[in-house]
Amino acid sequence: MTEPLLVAHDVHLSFGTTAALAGASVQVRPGEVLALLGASGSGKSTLLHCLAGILVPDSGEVRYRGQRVDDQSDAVRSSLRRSDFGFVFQFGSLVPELTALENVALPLQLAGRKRRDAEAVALQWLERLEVGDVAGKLPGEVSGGQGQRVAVARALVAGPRVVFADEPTGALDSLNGELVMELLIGAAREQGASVVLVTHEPRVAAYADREVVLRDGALAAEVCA
Amino acid sequence: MTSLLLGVRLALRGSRGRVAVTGLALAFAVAFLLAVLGALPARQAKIDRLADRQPVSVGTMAAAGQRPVQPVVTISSLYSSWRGRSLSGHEVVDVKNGSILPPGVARLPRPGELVVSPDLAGALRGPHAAELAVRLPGKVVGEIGAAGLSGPRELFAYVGVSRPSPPYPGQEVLRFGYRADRADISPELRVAAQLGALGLLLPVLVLVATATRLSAGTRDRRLAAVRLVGGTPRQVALLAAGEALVVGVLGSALGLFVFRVLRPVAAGLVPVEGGVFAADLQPPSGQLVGVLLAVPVLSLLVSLLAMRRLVVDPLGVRRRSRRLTRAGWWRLVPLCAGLALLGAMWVRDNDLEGGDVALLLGGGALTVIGLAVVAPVVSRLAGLALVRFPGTASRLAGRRLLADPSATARTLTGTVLVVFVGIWLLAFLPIVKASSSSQASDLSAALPGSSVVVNLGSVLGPDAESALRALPGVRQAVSIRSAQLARPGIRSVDEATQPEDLAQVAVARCADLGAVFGRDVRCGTAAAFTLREHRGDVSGYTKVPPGRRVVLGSDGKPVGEVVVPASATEIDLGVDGWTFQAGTFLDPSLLPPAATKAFSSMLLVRTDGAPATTERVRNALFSQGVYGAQTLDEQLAQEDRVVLGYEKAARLGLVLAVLVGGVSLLVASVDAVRARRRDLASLAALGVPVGVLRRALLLEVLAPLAGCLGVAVASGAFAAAAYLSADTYYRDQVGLPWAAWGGATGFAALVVLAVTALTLPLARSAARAEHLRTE
Repeated sequence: MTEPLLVAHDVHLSFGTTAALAGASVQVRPGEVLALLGASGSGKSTLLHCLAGILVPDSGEVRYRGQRVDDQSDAVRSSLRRSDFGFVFQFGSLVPELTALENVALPLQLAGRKRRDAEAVALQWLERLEVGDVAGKLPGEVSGGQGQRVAVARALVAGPRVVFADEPTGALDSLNGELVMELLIGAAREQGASVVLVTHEPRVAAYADREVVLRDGALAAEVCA
Repeated sequence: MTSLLLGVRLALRGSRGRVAVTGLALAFAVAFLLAVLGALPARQAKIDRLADRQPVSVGTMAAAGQRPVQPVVTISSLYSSWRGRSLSGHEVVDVKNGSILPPGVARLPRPGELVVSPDLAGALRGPHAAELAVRLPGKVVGEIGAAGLSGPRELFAYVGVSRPSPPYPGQEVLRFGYRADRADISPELRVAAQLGALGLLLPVLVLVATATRLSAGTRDRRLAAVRLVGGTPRQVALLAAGEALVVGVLGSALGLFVFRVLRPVAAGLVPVEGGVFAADLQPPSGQLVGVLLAVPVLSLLVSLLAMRRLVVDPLGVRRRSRRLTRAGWWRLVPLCAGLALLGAMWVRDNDLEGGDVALLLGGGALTVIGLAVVAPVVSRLAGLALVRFPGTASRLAGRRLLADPSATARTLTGTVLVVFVGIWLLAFLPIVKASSSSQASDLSAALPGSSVVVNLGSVLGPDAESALRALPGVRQAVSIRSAQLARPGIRSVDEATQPEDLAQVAVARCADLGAVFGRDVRCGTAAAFTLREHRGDVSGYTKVPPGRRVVLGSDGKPVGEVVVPASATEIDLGVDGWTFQAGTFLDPSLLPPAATKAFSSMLLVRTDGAPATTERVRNALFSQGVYGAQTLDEQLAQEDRVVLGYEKAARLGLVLAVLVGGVSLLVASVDAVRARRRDLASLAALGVPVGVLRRALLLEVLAPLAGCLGVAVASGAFAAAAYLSADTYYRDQVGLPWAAWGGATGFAALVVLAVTALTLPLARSAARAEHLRTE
């Protein structure tokens, strides 16, 4: 059996007196599409943030490729997000003042790539995701569907091993939602990247290889597709 | 470096609107600072220009130990006035035909020729040229260039003559250009200038800080997004720094451009006689470079400081700053400490000395800091008061203030500090005015400002007085002579050793005085009279006791005797005897004929007030060798030029500082409304009328403003009263300028109101449903 790429073990996290995660454990295998499901407030987004190194759990551990992530410095976790992880969120993931092309090129530039190189790669990804025509537009000037495809392109441009997607179709109509999911999953599979998907929509969860249901901050059930 | 450059690109490519608004605000600050810093050099340049054309005579060179050489020009100075403006120049006898020239002059005029300033040339071509013909006889053959003038609107002339007009012999001049030591500024004016500079600097700093933090919400989203894709906290800080640097540099460059473009306008506003050349309104190069560098650096520092209080993580931005949920009484400490230091001056109760100046400036600085620190407490108290009212608008405004009292307090701080400094500064003006009390200011209380008043070292003949009375428009012309009377037995002024040995009297006919002052005085038959005192006898000019007295001439020797009558009639001219330096007035008939020529005198000419009449009087006196004839208004303007200049500069500075504070507030208010679009849209969607939202926005500013202004006015009044208490001479003469304070506070409140009103229309667009969308 393949070694898990990403592991959360007995993770606890509270915001003040509210426990968001209460002993949640989950594994993500290489190339796998994992959906985190659950009711509002069940802790699925918080678990995704812990897996991605955005939040640090109060206890428990998160390992990526066998190495602890949760006890690493902010700089190391930032570096991981830059090189190995990609993100697609429902809102707020694009820089509103940058064009679509500049947004997609941003992770490469932060990693030290030259601007021209970074933008050349970014344009290829935009075209691959069928939004090459909006490369010069600002996020506020494109439709919701186009914006999410730009976000997908940005999530994949640095060749991540894991893509974290938090309600990626939450603000889209069903047609656009399906299009975004197909492009996201298709491109991730082509890259060999795993996808951790938070959703409450069965249609979106259907793209996953495995579904994990959370309740009250802990794993309640696991379903293989 | 990549992150810094990315920040620069983000600023240039991404948020042009924000960069433009911030850059404009900073440009305004830079241009304002450069203009303020250019004011003193402009004053110095004016002094230097006057010095550069100053004739250096043979006597001056000899006194300086230099060997006299062949003089080449003989000059006699002319001082006069024309239609309220100073008119000056030199009569020139060009002995060696142009071998030395004053600055700005291509050639000296020959007899019958004039070389004049451009404004004077215009006047000589204008409709009133005839009024100048007596004093400036001849043909204009050239104009004086800028190098030879103290200001662009100066009236100055070189008049070519074959020999200087009597009674002045003229001086032999070797060269032009004599720079004397600079005049020292009084401690009051120095403190006032320091306060003024502080008052002007504070709102500019607030404006820079406000402008740099503009659109913080948008920036926060951008920074969070960068963190999400792997940006480290350091990269994010550098990115923000890059943006701040861009707007700072842009603001500096644009500010320099605005300053250069508007410099002629600003120079035109400088309230000095003759005006200021635009090129002279130039900060020293060190200060210029300092400002141009300081603004981007300040912008960078503000941005980095603001970043220190932010926690930027991929999910968003949190502020480390504490919300002021409790009263925070510790915030009163700096203000109380500052006021206590100022209060200590009351206890010390002596004249301004080193220790007091330290108390004054230390207390003032602490109070300024204290006002800024205490503003959130006042803002919170205003919030607590507002939530007690039942209306939705007051409830919304109150809750908002309670949630973040620092935000509103920050926007008001600039204006509040300006009011405090302004109130303190305004208290200095009456002191400066009181210190410049003069004969002209006393006479102006009883005579029309258009009256011509001349102090003469001699006495005009009776024919000259009659000739003046005969001029059209002249109502009355009177000479008031002065004489020194000695105790019998004294044969020389040197023998007078006791105060009662000598007394000064004025000599004039009572009826003439009544006529010139326009008062119905009851002279009676007495040949001696006294004036009713209005300010109290502070002069020391005592009344002369009756009896025989010796009349001393200008050489201090007796020229005759006079008998001072036993009784003297008191008359009321509206001025005190001090004005004439005499406690007793005598009728001319009492004095011996031999004494008449020895007296100095004051000539009073009451006219119909028409400028043409004044010029007629001046020309008539000019023909008698009296050059400096001025109206009371002109004398006052000349005497008060420095005081008026400071007063006008202080008022202008205050107005500008309040306006800068207003610009800060406008920038912050517009940004705050934009940042709260979603909240406002949510409230509107819930059915809250836009009118209620507007009222809430208004109350959110007005309630803390009233409180903060109240604290600022009370602190300013206390500081001013403390300063006044330290000055034992002026504290009994000068009152606190409550009217000026009311005006300044009212103006500041009006500006804040106007600025807030300007932002209210934004509430409608901000409350549109489309803003409910997050992105």
